[in-house]
Amino acid sequence: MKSSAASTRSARIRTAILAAVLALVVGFAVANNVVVGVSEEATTLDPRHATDVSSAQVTHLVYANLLEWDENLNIAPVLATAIENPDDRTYVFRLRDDVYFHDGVKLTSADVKYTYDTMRDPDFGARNIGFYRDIVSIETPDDYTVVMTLEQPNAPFLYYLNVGIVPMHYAEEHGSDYIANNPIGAGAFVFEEWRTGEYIRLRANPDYFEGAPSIDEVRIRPIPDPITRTIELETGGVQAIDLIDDLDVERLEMDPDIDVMRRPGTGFDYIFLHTQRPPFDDVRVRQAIAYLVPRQAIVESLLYGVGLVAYTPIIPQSWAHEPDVEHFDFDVERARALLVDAGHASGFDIVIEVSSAPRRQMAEVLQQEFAKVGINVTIREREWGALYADMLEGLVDVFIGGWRAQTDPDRGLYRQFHSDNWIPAGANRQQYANERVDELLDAARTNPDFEVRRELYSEAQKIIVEEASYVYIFYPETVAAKSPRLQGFEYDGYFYFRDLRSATLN
Amino acid sequence: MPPCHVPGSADRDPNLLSYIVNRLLQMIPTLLGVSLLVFFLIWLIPGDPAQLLAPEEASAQDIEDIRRALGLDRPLVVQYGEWVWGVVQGDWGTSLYRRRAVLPELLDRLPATVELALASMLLSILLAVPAGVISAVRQNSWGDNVARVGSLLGLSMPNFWVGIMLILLVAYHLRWLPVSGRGGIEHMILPALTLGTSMMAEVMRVTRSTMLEVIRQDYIRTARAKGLRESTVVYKHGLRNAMISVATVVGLQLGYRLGGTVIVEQVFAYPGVGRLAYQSMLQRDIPMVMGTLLMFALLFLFINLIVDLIYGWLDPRISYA
Repeated sequence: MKSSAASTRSARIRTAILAAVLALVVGFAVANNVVVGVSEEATTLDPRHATDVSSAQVTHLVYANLLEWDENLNIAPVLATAIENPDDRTYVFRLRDDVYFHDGVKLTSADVKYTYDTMRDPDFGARNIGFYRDIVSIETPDDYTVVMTLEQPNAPFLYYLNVGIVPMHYAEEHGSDYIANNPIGAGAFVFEEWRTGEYIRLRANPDYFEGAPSIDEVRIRPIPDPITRTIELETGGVQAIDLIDDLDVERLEMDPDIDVMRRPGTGFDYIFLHTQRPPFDDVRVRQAIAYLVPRQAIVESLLYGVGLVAYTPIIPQSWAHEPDVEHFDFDVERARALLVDAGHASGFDIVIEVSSAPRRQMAEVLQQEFAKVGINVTIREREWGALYADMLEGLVDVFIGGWRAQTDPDRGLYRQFHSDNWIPAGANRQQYANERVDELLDAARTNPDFEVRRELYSEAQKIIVEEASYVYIFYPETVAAKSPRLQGFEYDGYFYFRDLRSATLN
Repeated sequence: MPPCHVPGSADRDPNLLSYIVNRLLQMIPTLLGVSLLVFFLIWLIPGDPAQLLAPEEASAQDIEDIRRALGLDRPLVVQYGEWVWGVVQGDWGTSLYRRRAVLPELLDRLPATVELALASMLLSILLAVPAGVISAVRQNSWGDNVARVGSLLGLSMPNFWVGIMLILLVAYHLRWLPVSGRGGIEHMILPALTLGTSMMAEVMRVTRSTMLEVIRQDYIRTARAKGLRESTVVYKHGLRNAMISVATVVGLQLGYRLGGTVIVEQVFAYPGVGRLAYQSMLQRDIPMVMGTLLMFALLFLFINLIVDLIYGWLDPRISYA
């Protein structure tokens, strides 16, 4: 009797354990957990400081923004349901009234005001403070209306309103240093844990105002090495990665178990020519340089085809991109003729500065081509911090660099080509000046009508390209990859993993 | 204070404690010196933290505002003094880039670095020391040749290559171990092996060459003449005397490993302090650079102290007067 009772009990215990184990296994299998491998770890999760890609790709999941934009850079409201523009210096935003922060407190206009008031406060030390200087005041007539008044008309202004809204009550109590590690937002995912160097773990926000995500948990793992990152995807350790090596693109595109996502990036790589320094103070010399860049060959051989040949400073997917500009297609004879014309028949010596290995390779290609017309190139590779400091002093004549985040044409043109922005006032480091360009850029900056702006930018681009203070090489592509199990997910060139809000895992 | 040899005094030191306290006190001026040097060197090299923080479109005014908000516009002496005063109180400052406190971040990452360094040290002691001994005792045998070729390979193969090859073979093709990241023991094997290869090679070579020297000494001949067993001669009389050099090399290598292992961290996505230190340097993130280097210096000093204490244990003639 006794022994049979004991055996029944132990059988029951066994069944219970088995059931528990089963439940656990099934539970794991059912849970929609996604692991994402990223090339760099986030630095901070306070969105007001998170201007680097690695941080922004996390904050865009945790926080909600006033606005976002789509693939073609058309503004799409998120927290704002309507944007009114009563005059060209005033923006009125009507907010949704059904948005709550992750701690249950309602998001109101006061939080929006607080977020942007801190960003434009010099004592706060936001890296992007320069984008908010035009704001004169932010007012909140009621809980769901925000009125921003600008000092002068500023058409691209809306493109800087993509910062996650922080909860005022929480931020004022704890301060930015604390938020950096313990963010609370109103976004699709709730922050759970950050194990520095290992991962950031987020879970779905069931009360997200656009509907709870279908993915239960997202783990964002920094995997800095591109080979390791790719192998993690291939072996199923992660379901998506943010960046793959150009060299791997073709191989992975053939792999049926991997979806490669390619799209134009947000910038361009170019050769910088200081327009106030001989010999580059002569536009013919700059144009000769432009004719000597084998763009297609560089894209094919150095980028393994992952990139688009570039002719203008406006990215190709932008509404302001003007394809009909002087192309300066590779032509040694025309370059030679221009140099002869400029009195440099026997060439000259230049130093090309670079700060990374891929750009040194580009410089080596140019070195060979330039030699054909007697231009002797010395390549100088320096760490970016040192090179950049010299550049801001106006001490660099030629370098190969890249601009990124050129989402609005104003960012790409006004700050780099308007003569008001000569260093140190702005980013016109090549000290380019053209009165007509200044007029066009001023007009485009203050006119809210996109059609008018498009025409103004078209003319400006033609002049800027023609005068070749920059020589454009290529537009890099953003290349990410994912497992086919992750559906409804496209890597977004501007908001990175934002599709995880609506993606599903099969 | 270097350990001094006192022939004939075999008694255990009563002065050990005061020796340790003394050494600990000596660390203070050393650390001050290191931090002073590092601080002014960062400011000497070209590149400005405020410039690097601001976006490239920034105007001079933007850069100035950022500089002021972060307190980088104050005289260097003031900034350094404030940093030292903070460290004394346990506040190692706030990272310029990460906008988070430096010390907690370092302490979060330190265990990963320490466990990896210790694992690779363990590997090299367990594998390389015996290999070195065998290699020396059976000089020019096939075993010696294998060990020597192995150590040459270990020294010559670049770390990143070894790491990627291990990942390809063990994690990708065989799928025995996870590719990367930190977790259980299984996550540590490949990084520790990768990190251990050059350390093993180094330790094996030193063990071998020291042993070759030792086994030619008179007292070894005496031991053999007494009729002691060969294993006693080799391990008790030979190896014990060779261990001083081995301990020195292991200590130094461990110090380097604790100073971060950028490449292994990169290849295996392992969360150590090495990559953090490297990136902070590129970004001119002064508080973070100061923090990581202060920690490296501290660890190095401690390891040196421990190695010196181990000398005394290995060789009773060494005293800490």
